[in-house]
Amino acid sequence: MKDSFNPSIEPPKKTVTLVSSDGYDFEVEEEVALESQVIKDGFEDKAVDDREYLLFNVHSDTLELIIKYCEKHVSSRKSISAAAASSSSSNGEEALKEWDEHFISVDTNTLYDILMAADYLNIKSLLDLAIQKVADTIHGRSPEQIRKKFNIENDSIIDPWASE
Amino acid sequence: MEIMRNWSDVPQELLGSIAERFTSIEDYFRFGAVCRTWRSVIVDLRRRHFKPKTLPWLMFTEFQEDEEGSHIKDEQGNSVKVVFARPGNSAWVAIELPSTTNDDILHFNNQFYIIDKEGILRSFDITSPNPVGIDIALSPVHINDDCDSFYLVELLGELHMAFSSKALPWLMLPQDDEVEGDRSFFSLSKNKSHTIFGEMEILNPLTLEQVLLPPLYFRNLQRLFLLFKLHSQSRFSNLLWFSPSTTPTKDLFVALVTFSKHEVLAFARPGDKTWTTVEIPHTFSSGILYDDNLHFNDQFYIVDTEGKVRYFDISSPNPVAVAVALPPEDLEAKENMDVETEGRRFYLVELQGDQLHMVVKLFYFETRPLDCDKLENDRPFELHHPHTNLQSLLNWIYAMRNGKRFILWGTMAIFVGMNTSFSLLVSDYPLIQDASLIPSTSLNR
Repeated sequence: MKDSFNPSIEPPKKTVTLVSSDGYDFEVEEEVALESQVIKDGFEDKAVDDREYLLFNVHSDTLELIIKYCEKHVSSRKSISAAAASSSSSNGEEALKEWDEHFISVDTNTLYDILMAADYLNIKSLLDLAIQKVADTIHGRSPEQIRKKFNIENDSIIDPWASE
Repeated sequence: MEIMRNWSDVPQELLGSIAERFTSIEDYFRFGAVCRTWRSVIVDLRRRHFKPKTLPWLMFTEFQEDEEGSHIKDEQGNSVKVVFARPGNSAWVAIELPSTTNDDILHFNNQFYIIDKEGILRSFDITSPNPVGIDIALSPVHINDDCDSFYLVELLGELHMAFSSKALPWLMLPQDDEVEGDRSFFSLSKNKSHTIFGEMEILNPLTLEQVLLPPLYFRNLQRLFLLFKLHSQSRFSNLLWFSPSTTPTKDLFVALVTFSKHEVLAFARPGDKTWTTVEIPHTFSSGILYDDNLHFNDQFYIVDTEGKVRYFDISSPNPVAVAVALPPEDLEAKENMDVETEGRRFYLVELQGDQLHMVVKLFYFETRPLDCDKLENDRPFELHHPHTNLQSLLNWIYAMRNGKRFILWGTMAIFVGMNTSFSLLVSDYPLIQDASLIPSTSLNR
């Protein structure tokens, strides 16, 4: 079952339901969903009992990853600011960076899905992460290697005499 | 998930953000070579004057002036030297060659080949951090009365050496007294000297993209010059793709050729099966020689050796070159005043994407003191033809230094070369202000 991402609700938190393109419900904490600028923008205008979002462009596999990312970032932010408040030393930001790096180390298909979903949901930090990953993947590769890596057809070579 | 992910369909905005992340110019241009959508992203970034975070590669083939100082050789007669610039590692790379006078350079099978004045052919690999020329062949003829220059030519997939000759011992073409410096050919592989077709290929050294040009018929003497012109043009045109001033779409890429002494200008786009000639009205049969050409605002501009600027539209089925500007009236006076001037060359350069400038390089004898190496004020072209709003776009710059290729001009850095001129905003590339990073004009040590 994919619809119980937050089994231990205590104290009860406000939640939002995200529905993936293939029809799965994901119930997530409000602050996690608000990582998406798109959700945030219309959030206050929506009735409290109508906080359900149909994400037609995001498959459940991808949505799971996106939620994982957002949850991690929400919780890290809290622990980082808590550490700052108690002025105890913390390498939270560095750890998060490492986590991000590991998170985005995926195959190009998954990277594509994350990139498009981050763009669609407008999650800026995730979009940045995905864009940088694509740029890093391209780095040092020849056009042919890039095409192979990303499974792109070469439609740009014109060889007018190929048929002769 | 059985969904096809199509990376060429990623929204342009996202692709643009990806391209803006690149820190090496190679990535930037290779990205643009992947497919049409990705290329259009690079084109769009240029339209918005986005500058990649590194300096472009520079590749100069140096024209050595005649040691006697009596005249400037034309491009075909020039000695060629090679300097590569790879800004990524902040060191500029010169090709180590035992000989300092090289006639020609050709990219072939992912190697660069250089032939020197002695007819020694060397190859080198520019991907090496310290490219060294390796001797691979020696010409069976030497520079003497019979032979005055070597060239490298790729024909039918093979590397050929060619030389210009007056005695023409290997002549396979009808002799024509009107044409000086007839060319004859021989092949490094035996029995190939009677090649009828010559296919020329244009190659971008960064993306390794190749474009075939329409075949040339060697039997036609007039077109023989075209081959050499084309050969050198194609060599230089590579640079257009990675000079920031030029639209890098292959669809717009055009090989432009001129026929020496025949006032014929022709071009071919990728996919064209024949060359299209450009009509040039009001010229005498003595012909026009061109110093430089530039693609600017969807038009092609050419400047002849007199400094007259014409443009033509390659989308027209019968393109006509229309004169748009004359050189400043005081150019002649300036030359007469500077009696030591031994020649001049005109270059067209685009500044900031919206201004077309002409650079005049005046050549002096070596004895000319260096304090004359200065730039004079720019001034408007004298318009010869009422053409849109070019008035504010065309300007003159005098660059008055022997062999100088690089000038800092106000906020701009201008690199001057035939068919390769480009400009950069100094503020975008602060490295440029360090003159030691810019290749000098000579490899002599």
